[in-house]
Amino acid sequence: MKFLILLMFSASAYSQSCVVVKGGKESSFDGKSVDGLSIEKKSLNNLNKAFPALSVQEKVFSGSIQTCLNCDDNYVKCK
Amino acid sequence: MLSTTVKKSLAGLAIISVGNVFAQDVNLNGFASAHVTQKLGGDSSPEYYNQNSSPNFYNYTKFGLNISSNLSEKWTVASQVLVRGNKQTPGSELPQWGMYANWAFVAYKPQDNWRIRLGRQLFPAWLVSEYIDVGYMYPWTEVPHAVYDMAPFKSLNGVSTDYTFTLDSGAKLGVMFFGGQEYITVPLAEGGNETNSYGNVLGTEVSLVTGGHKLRLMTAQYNISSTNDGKTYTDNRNTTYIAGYKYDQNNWMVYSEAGLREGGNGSTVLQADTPDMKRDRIYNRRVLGGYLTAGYWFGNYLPHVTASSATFDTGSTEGTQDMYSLGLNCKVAPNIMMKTSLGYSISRDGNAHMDNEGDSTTAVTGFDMIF
Repeated sequence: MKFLILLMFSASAYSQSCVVVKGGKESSFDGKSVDGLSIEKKSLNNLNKAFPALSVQEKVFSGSIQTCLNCDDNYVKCK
Repeated sequence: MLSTTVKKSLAGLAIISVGNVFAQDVNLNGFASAHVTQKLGGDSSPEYYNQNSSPNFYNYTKFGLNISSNLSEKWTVASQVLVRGNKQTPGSELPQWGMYANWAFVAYKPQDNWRIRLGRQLFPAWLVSEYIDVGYMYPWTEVPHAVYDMAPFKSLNGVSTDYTFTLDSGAKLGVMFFGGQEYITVPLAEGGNETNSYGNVLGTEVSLVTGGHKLRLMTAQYNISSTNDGKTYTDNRNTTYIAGYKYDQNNWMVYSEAGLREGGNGSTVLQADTPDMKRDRIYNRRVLGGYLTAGYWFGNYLPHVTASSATFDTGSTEGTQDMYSLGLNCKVAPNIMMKTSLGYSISRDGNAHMDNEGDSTTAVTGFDMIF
C-alpha cells in the first residue's frame, strides 16, 4: 500500500514536464529562473504547479514576464 | 512649452510605436473579481466599506486586462487597464464605474536581470503592489487596510530600475529605485473636487527571495499639494517605510507587513484617495500599522486568519482601529478562487476612520479569477 501511495505521489510530481525552446532546440527547464524567457500561455498553470517557488503567475500579472500564444522562440512550455 | 515640431515628432513616434505593437504578438492576460459585502452588525462601520445596511456589490468587484508585447528581445510595452466601481456620486445611491490605467510603460532590459521601466507604473509600496488588483494572487477578499491605506496612491508616472543579484545560495536579492509623480482628483461629498498632487516621489525597495520566503523593505518620500475650494495646502516630504514578509510553500502561508507614514513640516489634513482603492480618507500626519495573516492549504481549501491594527496620531481623525478576520478560500478551478471572509473592526481612543467610535461586523463573499 505504501509503495502504491509513493508511486502515485511520484507520478503526480513528475507529470509536469517543462522545456525551454531556444534557437529551435528544446532542453529541459530546471525551474531556477525565467529571466529572459516568455511563457507559453496554455502552459502557465502547469508551470506554476511544477515550480511554485518561481512565482510565475505573480510575474505574469505584474508585467515582469510575458506570455505568448503562438510562441516562436525563447520560451518555456510544459507538457 | 513644446514646439510644434517637437509635438509632431512625438506624435509620429507614438504612431510608429503603436504600429510596432500591432505588428508584434500582443499578449493578453485578464483578471476579474465579483464580491458582495454585507454589514452584519455593530454601531459603526469602517470608512473603506462605504456602505449602509444594504448589500454592496461593487466594493471589490472589478475587471482588468494586461496587454503587453515584446517589441524585441530587450524592449517590451505593457499596460494594465482596470474597470471597477468607485465611490458613489455625492447624493446618489448608484455606484460610479470607471476605467483606469494602472500601468502603461515601456520596459528595457539591458540584461536578463536588469530592467528599466518608463511611464505609468505601480507604486511598489507593498508586498502585493505589482498585482494589487489581481485578487486571485493573494488570500484576502481585500488587501489589509491597516497597511495598504498608508500611501494615498498606488500608481505613479515616472521611471524605475531594478537589478536582481543571484547569491551563491541561489537566493535572489533585488534592488529597485523609482521616482515620479501622481495626480488624483477626489469628488467631495459636499460637491466639487479636491485635486491632490504627489510630487518628487523618490524611493527604493530591497527584496530577498529564497525558497518560499520573501522579505522586503521599502522607503519612499514625496511632497503633497492639495487644492480644495481655491485654496492650496502643501505638506513637504512625507515619508513612508514598509517592511514585509511572505511565506507561501508546503501548504503553509504567512503574510505580514508593518509600516509607518510620517508627514512633513506644514502638514495639513487632506482628503486623500486613490481612484479605486480608498474612500473618503482624511489623511493624517502619522500612521503606524501592521497585520499578520496565516493560513494552511487543505487540498483546495485555504482557511486563514488575519489580525491588523492601525494607529492614527494626528489630524481631524485620531485613534486606533483593530480588525480581525476569518477567511475561507476554495480553489474551484485552476484559475478561479471562491473567497468568503468575516471581519470584525473596532475603534478606540477616537474614530480611527470608522463612522464613529464603535464596532462593526462585515461579511464579504465572491470569487477572483485569472484568464
